[in-house]
This record gives sequence, structure tokens and C-alpha cells, in this order.
Amino acid sequence: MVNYIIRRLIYSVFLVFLVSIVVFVLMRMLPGDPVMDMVEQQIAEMVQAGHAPDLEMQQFLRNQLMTYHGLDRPVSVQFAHWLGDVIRLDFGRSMVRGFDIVDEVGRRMVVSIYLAIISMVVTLIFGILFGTIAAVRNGKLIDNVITSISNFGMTVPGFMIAILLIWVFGFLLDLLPIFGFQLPWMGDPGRSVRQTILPVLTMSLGGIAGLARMTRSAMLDVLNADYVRTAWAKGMREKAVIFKHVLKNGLMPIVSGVGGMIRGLFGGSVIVESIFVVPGVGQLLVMSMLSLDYPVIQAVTLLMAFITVISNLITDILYGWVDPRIQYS
Amino acid sequence: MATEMTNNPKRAVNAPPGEEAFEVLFEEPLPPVNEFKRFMKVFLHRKVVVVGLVFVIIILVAGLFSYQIAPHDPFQINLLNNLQPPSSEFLLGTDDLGRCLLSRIIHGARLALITGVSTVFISSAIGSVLGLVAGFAGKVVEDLIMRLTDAWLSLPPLIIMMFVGVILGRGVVGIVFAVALGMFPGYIRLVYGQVMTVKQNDYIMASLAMGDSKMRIIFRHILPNCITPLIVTMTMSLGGAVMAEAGLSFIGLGLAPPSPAWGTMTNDGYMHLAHLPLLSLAPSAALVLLVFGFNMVGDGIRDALDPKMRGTME
Repeated sequence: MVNYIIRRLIYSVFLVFLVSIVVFVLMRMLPGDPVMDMVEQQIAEMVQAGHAPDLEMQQFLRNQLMTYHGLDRPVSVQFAHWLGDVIRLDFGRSMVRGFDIVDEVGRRMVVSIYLAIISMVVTLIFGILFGTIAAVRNGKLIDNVITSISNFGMTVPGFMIAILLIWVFGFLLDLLPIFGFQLPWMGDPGRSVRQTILPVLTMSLGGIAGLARMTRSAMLDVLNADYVRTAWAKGMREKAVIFKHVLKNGLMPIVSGVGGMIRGLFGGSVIVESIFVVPGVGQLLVMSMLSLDYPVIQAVTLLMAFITVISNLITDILYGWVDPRIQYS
Repeated sequence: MATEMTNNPKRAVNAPPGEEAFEVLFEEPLPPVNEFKRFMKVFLHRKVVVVGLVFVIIILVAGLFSYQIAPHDPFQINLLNNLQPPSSEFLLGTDDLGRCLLSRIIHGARLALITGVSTVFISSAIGSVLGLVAGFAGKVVEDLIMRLTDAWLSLPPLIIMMFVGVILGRGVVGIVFAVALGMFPGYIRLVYGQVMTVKQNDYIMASLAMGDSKMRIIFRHILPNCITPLIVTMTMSLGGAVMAEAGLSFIGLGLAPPSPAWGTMTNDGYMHLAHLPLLSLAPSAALVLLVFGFNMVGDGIRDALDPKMRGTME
């Protein structure tokens, strides 16, 4: 087991390394000039100071900035330098905004993880609950209601859920704030809770629908198993049968779904954070993508790859915990 | 028993008098099964699949005949007439540039269908070829492809799509390739897994022993075994492809304006959510209908192609 985890960890590091190469090369292919904004800014400052910069000056500034950020070197050299820094956990500074990347991403990461964990818990609780109810009451009215709603809920894209929620709770009912987010321990906890509701709902509704569907079909398979009939025949109470026998064995396929959910949550956070103006990692990624902030994009994608790889590892370990028949080799 | 025998002369031979009666069972030829009929029967069995199919057909018609159906020119800017609420002339109102919202949604159907379908075809084509190569080439190539697939899958697909979308530009081709490149690793794993399963069969051994070439084995044995799961996955991922494209457009990295992409329109209308919610809600509702339709049709096709469902509905 320990052996297996160690081997998987080594492979994970290798995967993250591969991802960083791919991202590094892809980024150099992005059209546009990463230092153009800064050149224009400096030119504007010079004009304000009374100078009259010419084209030569502009070119000089540009070259200077390229050299300063090391962008005039070959990509392979840049990558080697960057990798050397990253191993020492130095991600450098943002080219466009100048902040220290480790600080900024760390701060934003707390926000993103906070929202992701809450959404995850909400999704798990309600998804499994609704799925179980639907399976136990198979064919009844409540099953039909849950199944239809979750069928439909899976097809509604996240941004539409967000817009509907904003429209209903923000404008029609005027109940909840529609943008902004602050961690509860950094100011007004009451406001923070109110700001949490809509993003979390947006992130979890689709997941709840998917999980409810998955739980329902997994449970239905188990409900017909012989040992469940035996449990009923022994005269066990409904709760005991459901929780001890059905849910435990039905969990298996759900665990694999949860692994995918973590990946989806961080992908989905990009859209949710853009809509609700949440200062998280997803929003940072979109911002730096639009301004070609190379070091920030690299850091964030590396982080996301890392999270995915680790969550895959955890999923696989959970598999073994849920189903002891699985041997790690 | 006796009456049954006389009723069914095919199944029993009456014994000559004095001898014990014995039963001869003839193998009754199975009635010929019309595969297409069977498929349609299972496919149309569930009502929700039929509903989905109707949605898809409606949007397909809208996309095919958008120039004939749309009441106005979707690109006609009329600033004097902007942000109108729904009226008899503009059934869904007009957007901030005075363009007819309904016409734009109808034209958006064509874009959504084109991007969705071509995305699925491109991603499945790339993925299948790579999966086949990984399954049949040597160890080195196999490792290379499968490890790169793992790496590709360890980034959220949206991020890959953002990257490729920005690199290739925000036209239809760029976005199609962006979404396709976000989705193709799934197909690699699917086809590779299928190759690995089929390869273990004895008939592949036999085929190799007879001296068949790899190409022949691929085309005679492997590909026919991949077709069904491929078709199922392709239809199931149509909805996802349409949704991914809309998501990209929504965050401003997808199809560039003025193209009437539903995601872009949703984002444009978002500004006016407080007083004209239709501007944002109508295009995304169209999107939901299409995705729902695709998903349900995918479900139906999966059921109809599933060998376990064969004969259950006679």
C-alpha cells in the first residue's frame, strides 16, 4: 500500500512536470505581445513628463522589458530557469501587475478552496440524499420528480444557473448580494455567508443532479441483491438496511464520480468566479489569460494540475477503502 | 401435452400405432429481425427520449432554414430601436444594438449545431487514431501517448480549451478545435481500452497465426468492435461539446461578436438582467433545450445499441 502510494506520487510529479512543459510551450504560442501594455504605459508616462518618445525609443523599451523578463532567450532556456525557480518554490512576480505570485495565488487559493469544499459538502449531502430517496421509493411520485429534475439539471450549464439565481435572488427578490466575496474571518461574517450562497449553489446544483442520478442507479443495483433481501427477511429496520447494506455497497461507483467532481469544481470555478467577481484562482487565471501574464498562468495551471493529480490519487485510494477486493499493484 | 402435439405438427411426429410416441423437436427458424425496426422501437420507447428528439429536430430545422425562418436580419444594427421589450414586431425584443433577439437565437442554432457536431467528429477522429496507434505500436509509442493523455487529463478541460481557443483565434474553426482538443483524451482511453480487450481474444491470435497484417486485424476485428461504444460516446458528448463552446463564449474567450453564439449573447444580455432578463435567459434557454435534447437522444441510442436491451421490448 505504502509502496503503491509512493509510486503513484512519483508518477504524479512526472505528470505535473509534463503538464508544465505543455503549458509552457502552448503559452509561447499565444498570439499577442506580453510586454506591449507595459511599453505603452511607460510611453504614456514619458509623454506626460514632457518627453516625445519616438519609435526607436519604443523598440528600445520593448527590448529592455523582454530582456528584463528573460523572454528573449530560447524557450528551452526559459523553461529550465523557470523550473529551477519553481523547485525552490519561487514562482516569481506577475509581469503585468507586479504582485508576488506565491502570496497572491496563496491568498486566492484559500478563497477557491473554501468555496470548493463547501460546494463539495453540499453536493455530497444532497446528491446522495436525493439519489437514495429516489432509489428507495423507486417508481413512486418522489422518484419521478427527483429523476426528472436531475435529468434536466445536468443539462443546464453553470452560467445559466448563475444567471437565473442572480435574477431571482438578486433582482426579483432582492435577497442576496450578486457579486463580491470575502472570507468570513476577514470582516463581516454575516455578509460573507450571504455572499457564499449563490456561488455555492451555482457550483453544486449540477453536481447534485449528476450525483443523485448516479446514486440512484448504483443503489437500485444493490437493492435487488440477495443480501439485501436477506437483511429485510431478518426483520432489520429500514434505516439499518439502507445505511448498513445498501448505501455502503452502492458507494463504489459514487467514489469514482466524486474524483471527477473535484476536477470539475476547479474547472467550474473559472466561470463561477468570473460571474460573481469572486477573488479566487479561477478569476486570476482568466485575468492573466487576457493580459498574457505568463508567470501567473504557469503557476495557476501547475497548481490546478497538481490538485487534479492528487485528487485522482485520493480517489484511487478511496476505492480500496470502499471495496477491499481491490488490490494495489 | 397431447393436444399441444396435434396442434403443432411441426414440433412432434405422431408415432405409428403400436409404437411409443416420441417427440422430435425441429429447430424453429427465428423470425427475421429487422435491426432498424428493433433499434427504433427501443429508441422511441422512453417518452423523455422522444421529447429530446423533438427538441433536437426543432433546433435542427431552425439551424437549417434560419434565413427563411428568422423574421429579421440578425446583424442589422438599429440603435434607435435598442433594448426594446418583446413586441409584435420583435417577438423577444431587441438587444443593446437594436438587433432582433429571436432572429439571433435562430441563427445561433446553426452555429451551435455546427460547432457541436464538428467538435465531436474531430475529437473522436483524433482520439480514435491515437488510441489505435497506442494499442498497436510498440511499447515506447504506447507509453508516450498514454502518459501524455494522463497529463492532458490532469488539467481541467476548460483551461485547455481557453488556451487552444486563444491560440487559434476566436473563429468557428478555432473554437471547434479548442473544444475538440479539450475532449479528445476520453476517446483515446476508450479506443485504447477496447483494443486491449479485443486483443486478448483467441481469434486475434488465430488471425496473427495465419499471417494477417496489423492493418487487416485493425480493420476486420478491432474497428468493428469499437464502433458501438464510439457511437454511444459521440452522441453522449454532443451536449457536452455544445455546452463547452457556450461556456467559452460566455467568459469572452469563445466565438467573437457579432456572431450570434448563444453563449456570447447570454453574456451580452447579462448587463441588462435587471430590466430585460430575456436578453440573457432566452439564448441560454435555447442552449439548455439543445443540450437536453442531445443528452436524451444519446441516452436513447445507448439503450438501443446495448446488447443487454436486445429482445426486452418484444
